[in-house]
Amino acid sequence: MATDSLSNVAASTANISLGEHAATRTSALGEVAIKTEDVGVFYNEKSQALRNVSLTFHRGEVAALIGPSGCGKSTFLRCLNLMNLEIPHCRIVGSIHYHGSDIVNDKINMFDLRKSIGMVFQQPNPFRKSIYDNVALAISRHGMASSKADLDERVERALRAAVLWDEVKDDLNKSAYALSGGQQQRLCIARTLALDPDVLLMDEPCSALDPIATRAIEDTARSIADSGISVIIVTHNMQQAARVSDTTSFFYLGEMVETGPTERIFSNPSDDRLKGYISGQFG
Amino acid sequence: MPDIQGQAGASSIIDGAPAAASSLPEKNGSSPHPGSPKGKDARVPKKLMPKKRVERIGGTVCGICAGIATLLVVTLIFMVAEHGLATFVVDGISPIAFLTGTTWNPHSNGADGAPLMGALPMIVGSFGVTLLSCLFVLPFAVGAAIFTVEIAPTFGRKVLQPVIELLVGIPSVVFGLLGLTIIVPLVRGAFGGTGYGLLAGSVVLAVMVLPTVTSLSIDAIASVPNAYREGSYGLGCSRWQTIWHVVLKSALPGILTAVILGMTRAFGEALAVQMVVGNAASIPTSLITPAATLTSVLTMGMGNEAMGTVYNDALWSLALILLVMSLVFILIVHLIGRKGAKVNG
Ligand SMILES: Nc1ncnc2c1ncn2[C@@H]1O[C@H](COP(=O)(O)OP(=O)(O)OP(=O)(O)O)[C@@H](O)[C@H]1O
Ligand SMILES: [Mg+2]
Repeated sequence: MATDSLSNVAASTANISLGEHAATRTSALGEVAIKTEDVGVFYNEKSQALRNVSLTFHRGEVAALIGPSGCGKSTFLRCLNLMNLEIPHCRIVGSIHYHGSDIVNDKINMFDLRKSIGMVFQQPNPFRKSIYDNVALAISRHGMASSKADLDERVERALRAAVLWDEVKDDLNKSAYALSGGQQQRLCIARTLALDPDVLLMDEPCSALDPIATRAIEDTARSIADSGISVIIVTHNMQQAARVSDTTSFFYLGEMVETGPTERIFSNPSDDRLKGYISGQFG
Repeated sequence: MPDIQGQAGASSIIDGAPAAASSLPEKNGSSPHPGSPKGKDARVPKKLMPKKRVERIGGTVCGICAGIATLLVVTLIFMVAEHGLATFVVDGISPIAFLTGTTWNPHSNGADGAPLMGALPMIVGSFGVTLLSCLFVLPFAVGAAIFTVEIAPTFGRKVLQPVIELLVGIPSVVFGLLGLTIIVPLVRGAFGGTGYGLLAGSVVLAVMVLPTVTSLSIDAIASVPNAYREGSYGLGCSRWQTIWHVVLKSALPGILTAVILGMTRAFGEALAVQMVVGNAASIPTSLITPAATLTSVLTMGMGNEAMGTVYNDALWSLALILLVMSLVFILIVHLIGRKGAKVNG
């Protein structure tokens, strides 16, 4: 099963298709997807959990966010799709530019925003439904499918993009909880991809998984980025960041300390805190 | 029983863990353990020793209580079954005629010479008020539960839930009285007739089971993991879409359990129903014609008949039907629970 999934990854990475958007995506490679300026977060008025984060993410790239526990990686990630606003009293400051507008704005439609900025969580959290319904739910809720056949097609396309199709195609009506942890996580990726997002946020998506499932997710992330999506992945695992990402940003105590191409960050870090973190002095 | 022993065993190991404890004298002896310092340290084992004994006594007492309770339940079921089945075994009434007959008049005999004992009107009445009351209570209970968990947790938990739970403590005769003075005239005014009947009965029952169903629905909705809600929000689903498609779907087994426990209560309620249902032992032709339930016929008839008469036996048979139905309800709850556990992995 596990080796199966690995070979599936290899097989479908080559011809991954996200339908009509695939062409535009490839041409959009390298385009700025989302840009933050001086973003900060207050969970309460007294303490600021995150301050002055300015980062730019490009389409077709995988960006890794690393840093010790509690430094604000998740907090930052949850700003990008305004998930933090679901937390009572949480306040976001600064600006986040996305498709030409600043989403730190009362008038923004969070639901449309989250449709195009997908999120995958640390623990796989499929709904208590069948595999098919997990993927179909949001497609139907956003009224994206014109017919049952269209819905079927979108579900299949999403499952293929998340490199899960070959493992589940025989029984799509099986409960999502009958899947392994790694498969569940890819199902969560699939249901996000089903909405044709252009940014995918992943918060430590592999922390509950074994090494083989982790590789499957990493390869999936890579292939998703290759299709023109901007993938932003939070990780505790520096090997993972090195393996999968194009750029890496290091967070420390609520600040973004250093950012740059992944190779440069790991081979030639300039900030002392980053040097210490990479050499394993803390974290 | 084995659980209790297991627990006692486990904690006695912990009690015995400090090596000094087991070798110390039990009583406040004048000679403490040789070498053990007097004062604070020496007192620790003394505290531990009686605790061990208390555990053992506690285990035994609880075991006896559990045994008595089990015996009580078994005897009770046996007794009801014995009397209830006497109607068919001793008095020779056909069970089929009993369950399907539509005339309840045990004092007179029918054409075939057997007493007229058709329990169908009461069976219909009991199921009617039960199902109808749950139909009434469901939207209110689930609505209140959603409000309490998802919309206004502070107000819901601090005000709404306690107020609804106050209803639990109100005696059923008070509900009956209120039904008699408010619901029956209202029904009479709105639909004509006497006002007594299944409709009035089920409204009164709905209010009575509201706290049970609401509380259990709140528990069911609150136990839906937050990760599901986040997952749904993360997909751009709105709050209502999340509640409707994700939260309620996951809480469904719990809500079903709540409803069935409510039904059990409604099915068994006697006094309040009897006061408003009209007590006419014939199959009701509408929701506003007077009807009777198993419980109402039982409460009205039981005092009047001597033990061992055919009428009395027939009443026991009604009680048996009630008991079996309650057991079926409980069985369904268990099945739902087991299925839920399977889905949860
Ligand atoms: N819901 C919340 N309410 C209040 N404070 C919070 C909340 N979530 C996070 N914080 C605080 O914000 C800071 C950053 O937390 P965050 O979860 O972003 O860290 P992280 O970098 O993702 O850590 P980890 O690697 O452990 O996931 C922490 O100090 C944390 O205590
Ligand atoms: Mg985190």
